[in-house]
Amino acid sequence: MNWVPQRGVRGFGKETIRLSWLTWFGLAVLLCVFVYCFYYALQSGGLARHGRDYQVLRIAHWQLESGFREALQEVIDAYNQEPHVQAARVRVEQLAIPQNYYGQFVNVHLIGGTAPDLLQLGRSTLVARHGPTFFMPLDAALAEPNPHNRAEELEPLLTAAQVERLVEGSWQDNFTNQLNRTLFSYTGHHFAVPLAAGGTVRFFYNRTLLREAKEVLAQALQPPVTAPWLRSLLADNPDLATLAITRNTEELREWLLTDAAPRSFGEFILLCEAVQQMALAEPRSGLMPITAHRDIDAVLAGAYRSLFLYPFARSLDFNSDGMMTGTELFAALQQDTITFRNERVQTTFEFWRRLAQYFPQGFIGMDREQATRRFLSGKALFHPAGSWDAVGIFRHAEGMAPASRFEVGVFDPVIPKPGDRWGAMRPRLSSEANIHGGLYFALTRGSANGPLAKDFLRYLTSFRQNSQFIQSIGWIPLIEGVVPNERAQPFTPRFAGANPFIATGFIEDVGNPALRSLFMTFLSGNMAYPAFSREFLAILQNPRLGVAREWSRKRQNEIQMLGQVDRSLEIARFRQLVESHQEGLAEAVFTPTPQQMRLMRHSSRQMGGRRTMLEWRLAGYETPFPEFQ
Amino acid sequence: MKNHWLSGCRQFLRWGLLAVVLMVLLPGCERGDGPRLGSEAALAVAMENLELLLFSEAQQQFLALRDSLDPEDPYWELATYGLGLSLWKTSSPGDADYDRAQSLFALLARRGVARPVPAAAQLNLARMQMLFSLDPQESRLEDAILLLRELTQSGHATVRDEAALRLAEVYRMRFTDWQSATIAKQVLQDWLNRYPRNAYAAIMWEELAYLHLYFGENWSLALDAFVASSRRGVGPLLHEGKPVWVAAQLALELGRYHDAVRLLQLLAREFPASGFAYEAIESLRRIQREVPGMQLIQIPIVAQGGSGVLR
Repeated sequence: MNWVPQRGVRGFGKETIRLSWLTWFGLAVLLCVFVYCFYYALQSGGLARHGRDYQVLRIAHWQLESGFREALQEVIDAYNQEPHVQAARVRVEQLAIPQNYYGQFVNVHLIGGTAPDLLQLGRSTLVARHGPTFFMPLDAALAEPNPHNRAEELEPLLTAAQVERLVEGSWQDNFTNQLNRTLFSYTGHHFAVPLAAGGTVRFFYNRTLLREAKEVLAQALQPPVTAPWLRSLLADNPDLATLAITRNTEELREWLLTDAAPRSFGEFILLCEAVQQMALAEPRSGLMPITAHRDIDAVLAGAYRSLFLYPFARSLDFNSDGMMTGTELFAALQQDTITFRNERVQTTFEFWRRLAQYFPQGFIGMDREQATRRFLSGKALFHPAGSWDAVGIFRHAEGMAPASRFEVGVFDPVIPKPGDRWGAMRPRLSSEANIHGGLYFALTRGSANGPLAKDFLRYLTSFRQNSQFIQSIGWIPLIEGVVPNERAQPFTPRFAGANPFIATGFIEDVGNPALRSLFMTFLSGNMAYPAFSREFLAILQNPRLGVAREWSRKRQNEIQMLGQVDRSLEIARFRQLVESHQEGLAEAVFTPTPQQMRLMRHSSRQMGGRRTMLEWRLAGYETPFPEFQ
Repeated sequence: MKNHWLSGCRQFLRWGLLAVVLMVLLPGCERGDGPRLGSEAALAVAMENLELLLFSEAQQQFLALRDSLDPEDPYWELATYGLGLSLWKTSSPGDADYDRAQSLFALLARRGVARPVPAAAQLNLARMQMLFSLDPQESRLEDAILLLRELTQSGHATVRDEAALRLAEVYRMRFTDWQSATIAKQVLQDWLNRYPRNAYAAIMWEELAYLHLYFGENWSLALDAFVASSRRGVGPLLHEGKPVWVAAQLALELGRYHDAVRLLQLLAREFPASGFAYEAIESLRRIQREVPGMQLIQIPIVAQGGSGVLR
């Protein structure tokens, strides 16, 4: 085989290039494939058509977790059998795109005008900033009842009040939160509907491995405790200096005799260390304490972002809007309002580093699916993941061969308890009470099947179909009367907890990319805290990547939103003028609707796009506001 | 030959007569009852497209409707307003369409701001001046102030409250100048004194609270304004408790425990899904435990629903 053109045929100079027969053969194959594809595309009438008899209505999402596609397909199959869908000669098909490419897929197709009819929202900055430009408002449909809820089908299953709400109430009323807060709700319009409530994150654990790890621990805890790995974790002195994480108490020893999951960060770390020792004793076992992947910080951020930082929620809330945002934290760090030497800041990073110490080597290169597979192969004790993964994990674990089967348990993220290392700082998980909607789907403007696409969304959120769907996927329901899968119970949003409106600006996938990348390097153990903090501050000072860029981006987003809010406000006012005119009340004084009030408040707060500039001052900067072209 | 000539004349007369009849009758139809319904239907179609954010379609339809009507026809004003709006929302300052939208609103406003459509047009005109440039150096805020002041004094009642709120906003936009912040406070305070039950009172109180917080020295005034805003129900406007939470925190910092208790109770009772309710209950327990004379305060049992109005 010769891939290099050979001398012989005329080239650039006097040299000539001779192509081998293999090259000619390859070119011929390529030509044949091209001709065939061209012919196929002509015959099938493009990708939007499936055969000649019907059109395809596509619904795209990134939920590749086990069971989701099957659950959605069941609803799709049922819908495709509906007489009105068959009469319209339309078939619904799903497109499941891996989450790493989903944003890119959405951006390209929205700009190209070739987007699927229905899109799951998220993972696209284009959608986040310009969503309303690409999607159809669903307000009119939401104001009407959902025709797929029929009283005769619901009466045997639900109370009279529930049936009335589902059948006679508007589609919007069918949602338990009346869609009070949805994506793009700042525009005063509904551009998307959720199929379920938002997800929560918990730790899954392997019950068999837990028992084994507890046995190892119990044995090592037999007095006198001699194992160096355990001695370093247990505090012999009251102030828990050095690496110690918890105390060797009677309570701890009793817990080791039970099947109970860890109740504190100290117990959690002891178990992780025990698994580490098991792996060292049997290197080929491939055992690991915790699974992790490149988005692990974003997964755990919901629970841990306010852990030690919650007292700053008020003091660093420079604009007093009830939230501590990334830009506010950055401003405080840059101006030494708080420093990396602050006990709470330092502890936050120590905590994360301690947790990451038990992540597998090279976790930054792994994706979510790989991490889940590792847990399901029985190699990991703990697997931090969301409610969206629950049904798939349980189902998979139950379906395993008896020899490798293990029971799966779930527990809440753990925090240091009083008396343990960092316990005196009274760490807190964030409250999950404000979790509203998840699995948002929107209708794209270019959809050739708009009315049916809208109808399919109604079908998906009708009581009957949504019940079946929710049972299969295990998410928390958002439709009146729909009962959650019993396995979703541990994922019920936690009411207790600190103010959840704390964003660090780097422990999230929406944060500053340079800082997040640095944080991941720190987590992977390749950087010590002093170097990390120095590098962090250097990025903050960097005019292109740091604070200046963040603030400028914030302002651009606010201006974008203000344009959309103002537009909705002015159209709503025009509607009132037209209606009062048509009703013969041209001179009447009309009062703003609640929706107009919300829009007006938002618009007024933005100060004509100068609010971020004011906040820049409030955060203590005296330099001119940074602008980027 | 003569017959052929006569037949030609007859054909000419026949078709000519028909043409004359049509020319007389068709334009006449535009002024009758039928066309009024036509204008209403055309306006409804254009309006629908506007609401679906299909601006170029709406623009064409408003333009066609406007061209088909007499300027004295009441629908002409609405079509002109719609045309201006659809041009405005698809253009930027400096574009020809932006200037055209501005002249359309100015044309309407000249018809007298004591009527709702011209008044709303003037409000749009003022907003265009406010947003003319995001660069404070290139602003036209003085023009906006003149337009808004006129509306607050002699504009139709439908836009007066909004004009006052926007007027304060213009002064807030000049946040680098302390004097402007003082004028903004004055505008809002005066308006609230004169029209305490105005449509935007809750928002005005909240803005006043932030003005006191950002530009004032007496945070107690800020808290008073927050409390007034809660009484007017700024919470339900938002479907979340953030401003109530901020007010409660401020009350705690100022040691005004009675206000703090009422605000925290409101959060726990009416905004259980805000994310702040748990901390509100904890704060209430702390007050009950630590503040003398507060042992009997009620700690709400958290439940879904609620109006979010401070009682």
